[in-house]
Amino acid sequence: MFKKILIANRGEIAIRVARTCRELGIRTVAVYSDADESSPHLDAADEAVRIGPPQAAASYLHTEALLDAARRTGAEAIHPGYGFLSENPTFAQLVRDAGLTFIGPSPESLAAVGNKVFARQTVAKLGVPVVPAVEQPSSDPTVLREQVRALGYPLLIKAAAGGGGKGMRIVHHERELAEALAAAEREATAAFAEGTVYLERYLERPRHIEVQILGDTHGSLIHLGERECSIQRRYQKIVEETPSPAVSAQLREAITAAALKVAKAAGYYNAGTVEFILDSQGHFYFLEVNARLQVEHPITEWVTGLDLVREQIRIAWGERLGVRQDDVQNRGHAIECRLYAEDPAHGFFPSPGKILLWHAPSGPGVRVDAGVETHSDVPVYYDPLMAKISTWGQEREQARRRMANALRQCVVLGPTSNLSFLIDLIEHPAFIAAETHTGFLSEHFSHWQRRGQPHTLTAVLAAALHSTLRDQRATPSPHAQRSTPWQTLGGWRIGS
Amino acid sequence: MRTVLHLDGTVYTVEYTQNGQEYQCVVNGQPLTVRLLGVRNNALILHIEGRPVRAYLVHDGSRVLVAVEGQVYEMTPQERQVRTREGDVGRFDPEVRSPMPGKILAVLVTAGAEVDIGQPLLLLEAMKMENTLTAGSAARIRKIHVSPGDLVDLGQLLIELDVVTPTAA
Repeated sequence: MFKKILIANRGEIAIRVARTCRELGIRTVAVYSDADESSPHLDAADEAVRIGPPQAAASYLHTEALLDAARRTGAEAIHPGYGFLSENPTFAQLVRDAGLTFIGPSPESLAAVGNKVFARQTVAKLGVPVVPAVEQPSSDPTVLREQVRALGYPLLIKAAAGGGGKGMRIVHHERELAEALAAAEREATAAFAEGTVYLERYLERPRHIEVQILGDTHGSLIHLGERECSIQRRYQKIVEETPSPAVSAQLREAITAAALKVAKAAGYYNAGTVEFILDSQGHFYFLEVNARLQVEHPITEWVTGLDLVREQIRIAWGERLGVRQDDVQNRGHAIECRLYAEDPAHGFFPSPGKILLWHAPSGPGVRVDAGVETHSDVPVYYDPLMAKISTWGQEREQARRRMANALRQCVVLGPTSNLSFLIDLIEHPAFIAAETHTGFLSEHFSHWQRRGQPHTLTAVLAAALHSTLRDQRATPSPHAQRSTPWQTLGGWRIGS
Repeated sequence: MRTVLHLDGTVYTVEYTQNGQEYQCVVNGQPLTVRLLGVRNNALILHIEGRPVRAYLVHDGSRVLVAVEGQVYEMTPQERQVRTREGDVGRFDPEVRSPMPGKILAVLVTAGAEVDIGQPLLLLEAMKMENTLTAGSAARIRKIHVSPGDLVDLGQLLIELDVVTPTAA
């Protein structure tokens, strides 16, 4: 087995990878930028190497600095975590060229699945459904009508160069099509200097379903079931669960088979995720492959009992999968919430800064993957994810209630966080009823405001009584013999 | 004893007498019996009308931050409130600087234009997200220092503003 692994990441995922390495008796090397000098991920590892200034491009994305750190410390393998260089085929190749092992898929697989042309065309050839589309709409109305017949209405017009909703139009009837096309082309030209548009079937209230896969370098490839990650803001997931309440046994069989087919075609090994979109009629369509360990992997670990990082390391070392498909028996239900330093009442604006107080929840079926602690910083330079809280229950409702309780126990003072937003989300009737879809937040939470009421009085009393304690600190206590609150105050004033 | 706190624009006056652990409190006219059982790990353990509750608390400059059951309350004591008023609040800031390093996606205003408080000025991509920077007060745009696509650093000057003087009708 590897004797030393360099973890090319920061925050909670660096800590999480280091923990498994320690279990396996593998020494670890943490890397850090100047913004992370005192971050908790450093002392989770056995060694720590500075790789550059705060900007990600000069540190966590700086391939030479990372390879140099590996060389200097004698690390034999690099775990990229997620984000940063985790899906970069050039980096994976450079690691290989340096005689080291990249803990992830091959550079060839990374390149194959990262290519959007592969995504649509190769996958469609495998018989895996992709969202039906007209890639080159004709300017001849008769031909266009024929092209559109296969799609049906409603349909979506999208800008080929696009993004951010520009050049996008939903068309409900044929009579609206011509005018909408012209408008979308105008908008696309104005926004991207490129007016090409294409048509896609419009999926109403779709769910985001993804399949976790695991493959070794000997040709074995298995799946570990699906996760539903429909609840997203700005196309980023904030709540995930497994199994999906919308996936029947029959659908699971079909969607996991499709995922394995895609992975096999890409010659995929190590851990990965195949993402699909599921429409309200139960049809699924391929989206993309995430060729890395996912942020939300803990919920799969909860229900399978596997340690995905351990599997990744074993696979990278060249071992065969320790589990066969038939051995994978998913048990119960798991939910994850991502705790971000951001303000949900103001467009999820990031709120970096010093954490003045952090208290992690605990209890039966509660797991916390935190990258922060009291007095640590949320730097302005990186993703503002502070921690992931995941819960397990025998069934969904138990997992959900455990989550609600865990969130109420959690304390994060300093940066504005999405904690109370998550509580409202987990307690929302539509979430309780599992009526989730990718537009869930814009449907139910677009005008969300912090509601303080339930505990305002408690907070006011606490602040008032505490100010008395501070004032009385100088005067002798009437209960000098007993341990009284104001005797214990000494060490806990912040910033004084 | 008497403490006055400001929370979300509301003033809370807490008057109380102490007898050992027990406090007879009146909060904005509402009488409450509170027992303060201890202070541990930055938390006050209280019994309010017999109901046990834990409130986490830290001081941060002039602010007191309290967390109860996942809700965060930011309060300013009266005397500090006054000091803040004399300081920053209401002062016109003639410079819009980048709150974080990132990339300018769009400039939503033009030089010479008048903007209202809260009006979007710029879209900034940072920390993997698109963020809107808004006007902190009504102003006139004097000079724009960035254009779409520019990479900006923390604290970099983006826009200069002029005070809008009320025009005579």
